[in-house]
Amino acid sequence: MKDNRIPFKRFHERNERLLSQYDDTYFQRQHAKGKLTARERIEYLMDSGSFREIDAFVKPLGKEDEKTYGDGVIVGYGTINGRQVFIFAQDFNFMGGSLGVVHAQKIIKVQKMALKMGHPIIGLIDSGGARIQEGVASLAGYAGIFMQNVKSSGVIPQISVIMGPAAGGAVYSPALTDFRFMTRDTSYMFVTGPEVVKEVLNEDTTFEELGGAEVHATESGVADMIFSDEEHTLMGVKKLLSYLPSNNVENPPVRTLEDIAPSKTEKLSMLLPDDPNKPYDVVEVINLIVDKGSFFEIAENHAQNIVIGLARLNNQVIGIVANQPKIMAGTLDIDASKKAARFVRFCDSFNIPILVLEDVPGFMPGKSQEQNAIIMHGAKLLYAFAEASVPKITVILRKAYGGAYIVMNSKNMGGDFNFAWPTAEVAVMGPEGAVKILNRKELLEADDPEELKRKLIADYKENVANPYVADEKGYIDEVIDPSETREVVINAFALLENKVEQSPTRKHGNIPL
Amino acid sequence: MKINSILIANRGEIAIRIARTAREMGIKTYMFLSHHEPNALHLDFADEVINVSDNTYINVYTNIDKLIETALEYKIDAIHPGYGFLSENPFLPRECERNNIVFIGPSSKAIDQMGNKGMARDMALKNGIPVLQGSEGVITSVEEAEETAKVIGYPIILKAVAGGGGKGMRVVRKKSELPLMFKLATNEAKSLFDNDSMLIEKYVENPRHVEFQVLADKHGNIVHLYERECSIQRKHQKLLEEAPSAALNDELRAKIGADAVKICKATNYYSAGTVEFLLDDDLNHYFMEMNTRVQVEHPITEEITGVDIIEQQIRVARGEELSLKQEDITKNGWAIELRVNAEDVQAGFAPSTGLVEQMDIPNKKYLRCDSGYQAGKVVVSSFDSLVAKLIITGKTRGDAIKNCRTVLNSTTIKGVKTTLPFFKQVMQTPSFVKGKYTTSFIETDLEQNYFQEDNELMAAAVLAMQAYLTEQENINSDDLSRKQVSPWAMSKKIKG
Amino acid sequence: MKLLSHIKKYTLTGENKVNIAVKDNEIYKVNNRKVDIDIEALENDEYVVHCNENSHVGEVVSLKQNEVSVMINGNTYHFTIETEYASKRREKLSKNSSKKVEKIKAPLPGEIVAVLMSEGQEVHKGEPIMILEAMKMQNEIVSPISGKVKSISVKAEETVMKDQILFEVEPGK
Repeated sequence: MKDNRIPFKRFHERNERLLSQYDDTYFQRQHAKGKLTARERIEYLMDSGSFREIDAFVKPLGKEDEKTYGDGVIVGYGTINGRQVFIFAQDFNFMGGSLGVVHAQKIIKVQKMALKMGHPIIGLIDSGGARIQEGVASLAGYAGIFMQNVKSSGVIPQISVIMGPAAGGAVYSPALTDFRFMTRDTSYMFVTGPEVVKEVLNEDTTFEELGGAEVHATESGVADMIFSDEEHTLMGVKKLLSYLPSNNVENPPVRTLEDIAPSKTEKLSMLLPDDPNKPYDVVEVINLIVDKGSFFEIAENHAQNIVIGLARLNNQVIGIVANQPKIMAGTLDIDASKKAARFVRFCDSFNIPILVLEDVPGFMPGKSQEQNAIIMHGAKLLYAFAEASVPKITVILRKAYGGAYIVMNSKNMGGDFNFAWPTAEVAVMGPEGAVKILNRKELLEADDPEELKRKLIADYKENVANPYVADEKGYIDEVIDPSETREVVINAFALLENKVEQSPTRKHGNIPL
Repeated sequence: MKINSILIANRGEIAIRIARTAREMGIKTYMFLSHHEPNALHLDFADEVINVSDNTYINVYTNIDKLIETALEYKIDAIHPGYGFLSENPFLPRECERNNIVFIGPSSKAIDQMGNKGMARDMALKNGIPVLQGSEGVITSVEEAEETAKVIGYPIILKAVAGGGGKGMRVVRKKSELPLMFKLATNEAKSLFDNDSMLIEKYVENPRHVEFQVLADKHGNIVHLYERECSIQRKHQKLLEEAPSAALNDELRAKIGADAVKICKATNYYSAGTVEFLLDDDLNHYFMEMNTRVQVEHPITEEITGVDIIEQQIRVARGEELSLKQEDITKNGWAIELRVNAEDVQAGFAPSTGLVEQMDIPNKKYLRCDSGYQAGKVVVSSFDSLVAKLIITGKTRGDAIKNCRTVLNSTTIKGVKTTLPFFKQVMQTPSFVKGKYTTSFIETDLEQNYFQEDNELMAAAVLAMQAYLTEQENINSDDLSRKQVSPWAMSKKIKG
Repeated sequence: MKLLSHIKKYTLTGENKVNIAVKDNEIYKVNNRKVDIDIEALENDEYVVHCNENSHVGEVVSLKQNEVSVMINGNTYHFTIETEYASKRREKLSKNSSKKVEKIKAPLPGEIVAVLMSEGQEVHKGEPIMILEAMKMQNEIVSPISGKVKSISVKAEETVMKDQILFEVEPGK
């Protein structure tokens, strides 16, 4: 029923005008590119009817006669599965989603609100970059957004969803947030585009090669998740959110499901191959420990030698860090260290307990690793685990050698519970390497060095590379039957529920960046 | 020679098979416990288990020194190699002889002679047994290969001299393919047999593969136990065998059988063996090679003749004279062997390893199951993928096929993917049912490699869709509750 | 006013395409025909799927985003599930975008015994690029398309896992 009193008349007219902005051509322009519109994305992500838009009627700076409202970004709040969230969605249909002053102010406004009220913020990014016409003012706009990103970091979850281009300065806001989601074939992120690369370096590249979703999900690791289409990308955001608390004071949400224990947990003791040098898939181990179907892997295609992800254990959220023996034997290299370190810090920020599944033969040797500072990058993981005050449990499945053993949340690095399977091998180095060093002389003098080596290796395994030596010295709390891992870990996390660890007062530590 | 104990230098179903006969004959058996499969089923069937699991650097089944050393240490009278591994390695019988251990199998010389395809071929030629046109002597370079191929004419087949079991073989249909195929074949031969010498033979398109089981003693007595039809193969790996062959009539059977016996005679062969022939469209037979061991598919012959081939091997090894005369050996009914391998048929027969979660095989009078696995055992990648041999008999071929279908419908194996869906499909394929098939059966006659029930695709789609919808529902569920921070933690977290 | 029921159409792409219409979150039509469907959960995560007059035993092997693998009667089926709408949008997109570099993954775990080509070399569809040995069988890994070998990520004698990327081929012009 229309109210014709003057204040209401204008109210309705304005709303109608805003609505008429979203006509058929508005939708078709994006659809023709195989993309959804900002409006549709919000509809899809938020609970039906829950979205409230704010600052809908703003106009670009100095363009009071502009017919279109909003300045290329839709901002507001609403609920996702009943959870309050703030959101901003750049609208490529308006000046290519370019970031002007007003556009930036709108984003900053919801960022501030989210931080003040302690709710997650989600950014749907689809923008050509800074609005050239507005000059340095638009750059200042970016700066304001970055500032707010950093202030919110570790206080509220910030999720960036790249659904179109994100170029130049625009890439740094997503980079400062907790997670970056990308859509295959339609999203790109790069600091400089192919044209500039051609001009400066005379190199031919494509959008895909420079910053396609595939590249970022595999090579660079910039994208944490990659999806085949926009609907599934947004579903992914919803799923991720179901594991996260709304801020750093809350605990992650719990489920109340029953019948969640994985069946066939007895398979756990059969999963490890006959030969300790043979690979297996640690994701299978994870799925036999956590609640049925609850493992949500993050950065699955990047640094695959380490597996990270969120899961539920007895309905409670945990973070998982696991070496992946099927890729490079699970060796830790630069990428894996960075990937895991960042995840550990994320979990620590948001009160998510961490479960480490360890099978690591060591750090990756080699010139390229050393020259690219594996020392500093490996130290990141060390720092992250040592600093984390959330409950931390390690289960050593098989190999736990040398520096990599220390790093993977060992007892003296602050592991709250350290368990080991009977298949564990805890030592300074693997049998082959150790025997070569320890028995160099005997081996040189032996009549049958191969035979002697075999014997020495067997002795080493018997006496050193097993879980029992570490267990008897207290570096492992308990050697457990693989098939009871789930129960043991659930129990340990329950004990740790109220764990509090106080850290000294300081501005912040100096992580080896 | 007395044999009171046997070291079974093998694993899985064949180890169990050998142990069964040995037990019936009152012979004590020894088997190895290896680190590859410390919980293997076959260990339950040995009288004594020798634990070599500490030694993770050797494969005990291929280590002659270790076998000899073990036999001597435990004072074991004889070694049975089974099939694969060292079964056709002439050095094992030689070393056995040197150490006064009985080798249950042919002489080292016979293995040497017949294991070398070139020599075997020459032997056949000399004795008037038909062979395919081929290269004289071995070929070691592409140039030689090209020349020989020109003389014989394409298509040809490249065969590793030392090869066996379908390995190191390549078919070349035209000249341009030869260099690459030669490289592939020699590479494979080099890595598997450490000998990259090749033979070239005329390649018969779509032949049938028929082999004769022979038994011979050390006193010159030789008999054959009729044929087995092994044309259902994939990349020269047999998948299904039947005895007898639907392609032979009695006259032809007698003729080829006589040739099989002839070649054994010419080499003074003793023990059990198999002489393989190719049959072309016009039912001409050509000698291919001889396998100087017990074959995987030996049970179908046992089923139709009632002869225990392992028992005969042991008796011959003891020096006994064959009690069987050719005219006493009769065949009754029909037998089909299905090799249930842990392979993913849909993924091009890729190996599928892991825990056997369930293994239900029906109990039927017409079914013999030779298997080295049961539920709870693990298929490891270190050994072949044979999980079970289903040996099914019937009065006629039609009966046997009917029985196969019944068995297949009530057999369940879970945890690893198997070739069962393949066999279900074979049993539905007209050319197999009619008995008119060749070695190209899989490529040309099968519509697809696995059997699908009516509406199976629909059911799969529905189940997938339902799983997807459930996941979407889960994601959209607001069944999340807040978990309060405990006052204990709160009080400690908030400072000043 | 007549209430329209909420019907969503999905395309499941695997070896064959299956269209499924979902009405109020229930499967309603398969390939445009109404079907009687009942899915009964068994122990051990198995299901009996009753589809018209047939019933099949199956389980869900994996579910990741919109990729689902199920096992029915011992056969595995992989599907990519998309709404009809998304599928159409993607088709439009693939028409626009340039040809894709093919990444060839190891079909099974094993050892690379030989690499037969080098980076930059022209290849034809079906030509072997390397040999993978698994369970004593040598498998030729062939190029699925004609073009140029863009990169080779493994060396001879290297052990590879299933699905590890072995090489990339760039489609020819």
